[in-house]
Amino acid sequence: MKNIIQNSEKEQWKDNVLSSLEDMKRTEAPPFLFTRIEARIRLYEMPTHLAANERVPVLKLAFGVACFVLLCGINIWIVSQTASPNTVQQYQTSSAQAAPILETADFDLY
Amino acid sequence: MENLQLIQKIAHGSEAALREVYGVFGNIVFNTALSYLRDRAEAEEITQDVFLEVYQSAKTFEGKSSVRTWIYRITVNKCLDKLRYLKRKKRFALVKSLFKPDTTEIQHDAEDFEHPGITLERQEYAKILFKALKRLPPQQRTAYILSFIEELPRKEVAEVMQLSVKAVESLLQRAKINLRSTLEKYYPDRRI
Repeated sequence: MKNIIQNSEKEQWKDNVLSSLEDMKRTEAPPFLFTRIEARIRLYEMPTHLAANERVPVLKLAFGVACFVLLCGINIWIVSQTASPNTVQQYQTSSAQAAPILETADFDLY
Repeated sequence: MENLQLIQKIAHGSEAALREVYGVFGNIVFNTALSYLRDRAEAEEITQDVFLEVYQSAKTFEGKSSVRTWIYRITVNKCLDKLRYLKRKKRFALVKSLFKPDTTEIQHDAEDFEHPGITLERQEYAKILFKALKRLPPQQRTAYILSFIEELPRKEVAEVMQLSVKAVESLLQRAKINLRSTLEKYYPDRRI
């Protein structure tokens, strides 16, 4: 019985909350708001001003440039590594060092 | 002068026509933004953005819907964008505060927003309702605000949201169910 009363009280409370916006009056917009809109229009119409969809965000631009520089850097590094005479010499040396080991391995059957 | 003619004048750069349109729709836009954002300063900014958008896109207005529906659509989109931006900003500030504990950047919600158009005796209930509205998904919130706060007919709500009337009805139904279940949490325990 107590639960039923509590539930009906709760439902009543919810109805009160949901109906609280009924007959709500409109608020007046601040008096000088249109002056500010006009100021923004002036700014928009300035010849140097770009429309929002024409503007490139600085962060996006910086990110793009950084990606490009990183990609170029990696490419240059890889090309310089493969083309340098040191690498060729190193390769030759390492294969020459490997030869005696192979030879020994050939005779060392047991 | 008819609204459509005013829009055509705005398309030719007439600020006087924009002032007239503002005279008709300024309060509507401001109040809708206030219902979404629950903050006067943010609502003022949205109103500016909306009328700037009206000025910029008057040329592209084809007159397929009424001017009122078009302005409502711009307002709703701007409000939802702003809410998304504020949410992102809040999340970023929270992450930043982990590294800089003394930062004051964390945005606080307007939990105790008092709508100036509501009578004093309903103010407490309205505060709770606005708090619960914030938890609704964007589409349900839009349907609720336009139908019950702005009191637009369902057909116009459907036009603003670019949905069918049936879809709007279903959104409202779900919004009411969700609001009731959210209100469950806010019910003051009167046994104490």
